[in-house]
Amino acid sequence: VLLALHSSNQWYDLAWVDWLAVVGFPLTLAGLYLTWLQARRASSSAEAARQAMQQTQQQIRVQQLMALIPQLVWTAYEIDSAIEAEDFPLVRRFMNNWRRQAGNVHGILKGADPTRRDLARGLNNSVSLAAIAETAILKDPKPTREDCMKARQAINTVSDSLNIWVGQYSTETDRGGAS
Amino acid sequence: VTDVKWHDDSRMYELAEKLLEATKAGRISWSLTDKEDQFLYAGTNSSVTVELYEDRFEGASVQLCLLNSRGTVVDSLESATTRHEDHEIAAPWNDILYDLYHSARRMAHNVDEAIESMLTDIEQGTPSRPPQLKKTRVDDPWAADPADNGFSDEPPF
Repeated sequence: VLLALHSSNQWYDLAWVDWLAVVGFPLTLAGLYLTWLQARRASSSAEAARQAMQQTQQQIRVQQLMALIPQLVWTAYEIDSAIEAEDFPLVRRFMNNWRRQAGNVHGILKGADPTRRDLARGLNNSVSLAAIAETAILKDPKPTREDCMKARQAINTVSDSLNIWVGQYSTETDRGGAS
Repeated sequence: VTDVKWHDDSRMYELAEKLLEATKAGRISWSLTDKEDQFLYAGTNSSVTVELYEDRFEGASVQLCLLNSRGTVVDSLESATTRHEDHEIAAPWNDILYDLYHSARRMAHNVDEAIESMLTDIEQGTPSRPPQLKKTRVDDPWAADPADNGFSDEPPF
């Protein structure tokens, strides 16, 4: 445009080719604006899609926990019953089940609710104590309740906390609970 | 002695140092386990245990174990000695492991709290009398109970 104006002394001296350049300039600006607008919309929709995907993943994790935690709590009840019956091979087997299931729940919980570090630590504590109790029962020729009481206590504590967590999530629709 | 070769446990050695530092600063807490001489610190993703072993021939040794989120021992560091030119050489991490074990034990058993409580009791001079047990002589039905002034209307049988 500047070149077109520069090449002639007066604006009305412009040739039709130069007029095309003059008209083309705002059109180019408008085109640039539209391109920028479209790119912005695309990026915000990609962001929205990413957020939706993350939310879906979160909901899937929560639903998995809703199914796994009651199983874990059931295992805790079974450990209690086996201790009560003083059936130590059974106690050891359920402790092993606890470790396996609690390990899964721990992994999913990290993704589903990263803020609950206390629950993750509680699970880890119970799993480690269960492993120690398993060894204590195995090594003791005449195992007693004293070989597994710390593990039992840790398992019961974390079971109660997980039950509360399930209760909280099952009433929250926006976080993947009751829908 | 610098030419003694130890198994490369530099990461576990570093972990032991950090655990000792955090334990002494009171940043982490150790708990009791179902084994008398083993103590546990559970983190969010993994745990550590420290345990004292007594061996009739080797003597006492301390082992630090790292457990994953399934309770499996994935790494460990044990106090050790080796013979080098007729000398017993202790591993460089031995002192740290023993110190860590005793610090963890004190914390798990609340030893410092117990000492503080005892010191307060001593300072206040609280007398601690043994409980007075009531004397009963079940083997002698004719024995007089001093509380009844030596006489009872009830037959002895």
